[in-house]
Amino acid sequence: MYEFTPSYLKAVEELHQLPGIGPKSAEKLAASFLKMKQEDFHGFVEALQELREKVKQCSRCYNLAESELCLICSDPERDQTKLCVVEESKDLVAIEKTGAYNGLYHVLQGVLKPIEGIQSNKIRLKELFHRLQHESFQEIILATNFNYEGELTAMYIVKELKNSSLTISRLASGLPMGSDIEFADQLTLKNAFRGREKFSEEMI
Amino acid sequence: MHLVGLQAENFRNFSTVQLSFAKHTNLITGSNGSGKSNLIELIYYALFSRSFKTSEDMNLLHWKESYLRTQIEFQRDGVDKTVVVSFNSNKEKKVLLNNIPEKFSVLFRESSVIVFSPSTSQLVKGLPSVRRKWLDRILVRVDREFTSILYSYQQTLRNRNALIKRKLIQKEDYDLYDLLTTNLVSLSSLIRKGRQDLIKMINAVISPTVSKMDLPMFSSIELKYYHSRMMEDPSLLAKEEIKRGGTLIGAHLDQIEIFHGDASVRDFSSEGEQKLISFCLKLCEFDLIQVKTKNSPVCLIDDLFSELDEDRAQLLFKYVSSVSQTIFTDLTGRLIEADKVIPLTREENTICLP
Repeated sequence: MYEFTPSYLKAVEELHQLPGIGPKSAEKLAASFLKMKQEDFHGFVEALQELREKVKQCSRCYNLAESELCLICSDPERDQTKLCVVEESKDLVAIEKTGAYNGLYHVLQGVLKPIEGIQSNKIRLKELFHRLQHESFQEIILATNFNYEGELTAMYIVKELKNSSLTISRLASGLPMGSDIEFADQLTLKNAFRGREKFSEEMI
Repeated sequence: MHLVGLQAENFRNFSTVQLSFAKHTNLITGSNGSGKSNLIELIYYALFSRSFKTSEDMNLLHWKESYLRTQIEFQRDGVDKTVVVSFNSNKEKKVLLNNIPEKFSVLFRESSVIVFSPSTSQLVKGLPSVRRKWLDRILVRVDREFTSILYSYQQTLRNRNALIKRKLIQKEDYDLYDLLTTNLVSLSSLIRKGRQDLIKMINAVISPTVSKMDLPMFSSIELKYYHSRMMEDPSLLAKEEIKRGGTLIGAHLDQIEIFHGDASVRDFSSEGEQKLISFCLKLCEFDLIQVKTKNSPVCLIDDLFSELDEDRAQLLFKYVSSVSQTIFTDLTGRLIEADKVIPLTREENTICLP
């Protein structure tokens, strides 16, 4: 039976290791690499190499960075008294896009999942508590996801900080913009009621 | 609510099924081994993408086939709905509700069904877990918040067990264990409240229900709820839990017992009495679901006359079919008239009835 050439098969196998890439997609990608112009392919390879070589973790907040500190940690204009705790860098980027927050971040690089053996020492929690002791924060904002693990991680942080004088807040959970109340699920609607805000002029 | 039509491929002994249902009474007849119970199971599976008999979907595939597909149409509050479930031998399952992919938990809210089957008597003679699950499934259907409480409880329990198995060596593990214990205790009290309120409601409807079945001697049947052990000294508890390798407190260990006067039905009643009492309890479920959801559930009754004596069976049938769509199986079907008869034969594995 005829098979593809060994180098082709090897490339397919490697691509198949990537998340979300099945065997068929891996073959498609390999074929498209062969069709690419030489200079385009070099650009692609270079980008991947640069990614591996240059992108590191910020030594302070564990966000992605290309130097010792990430762009946010090295920005003196940032409010040094506020710290927002997120699960992953992509959450940080989502919050940054809103422009609503000007403080610092801490990226946990995961959440507590005891079922999968992910306990506090497997994510950046120790580093978080170290920062809280040694930097001058006044408020910590917990922005982990609103699912079981995200809530558990937030509760764990609150428990560990019960003797500190920090203001601890959690992002509000409620109705998304543009949504209809009649279609909201009951739990969300209940949370929205509990977390209702006094109407201020800023809102208009 | 009522079922309108059912199509299926490769489910248990059926290679093709195409059926429509009468709005009130439907009778499935056929000799032993012709697939009557499979058809009841198929209806349940098509509605909820789960079987009430097995948790392993692979067992549902027709012999040597690699996929199964079911499609069921029903009407609720005048709105037509269709659920399509497909499953293949790679264990991939897809659920579509009105052509939109959905999680299976949504299906429990969309339709409402009560099954009376030979395993119904487990409700009385089975382990306490059968009764806990029975109560929880009623609550999930009438109270959406209970669903999320139950989900959080199960997650907490699984996480806590995983942590205990790793023996809590580090201080951080112990802190997390402590947090999970607090959560487990507070969620337990919410679950207990839900279950106890439900038990009160069931106890209140038992007497009218048994009179519908002409069983006045059972009017003093009563459900009682027993808490499992409470949280003692936390450090002692942790030690014991590590030794035993799992969680030893919580609502998942509570017991529900059924009493007839002062005697436990499980220990003192005869086989026949246990059967009658379990059918009465299912009938209480039927009444409660009907009142709480303002909708009559579809009744699926497997092997009506082999489970109950003829008089009781007639009474049960008359009562449920007077308020809801009823689909029942019987060997001969000579004892009850139905609007539609679905005859099955052992040789044919294709049912096509317009």
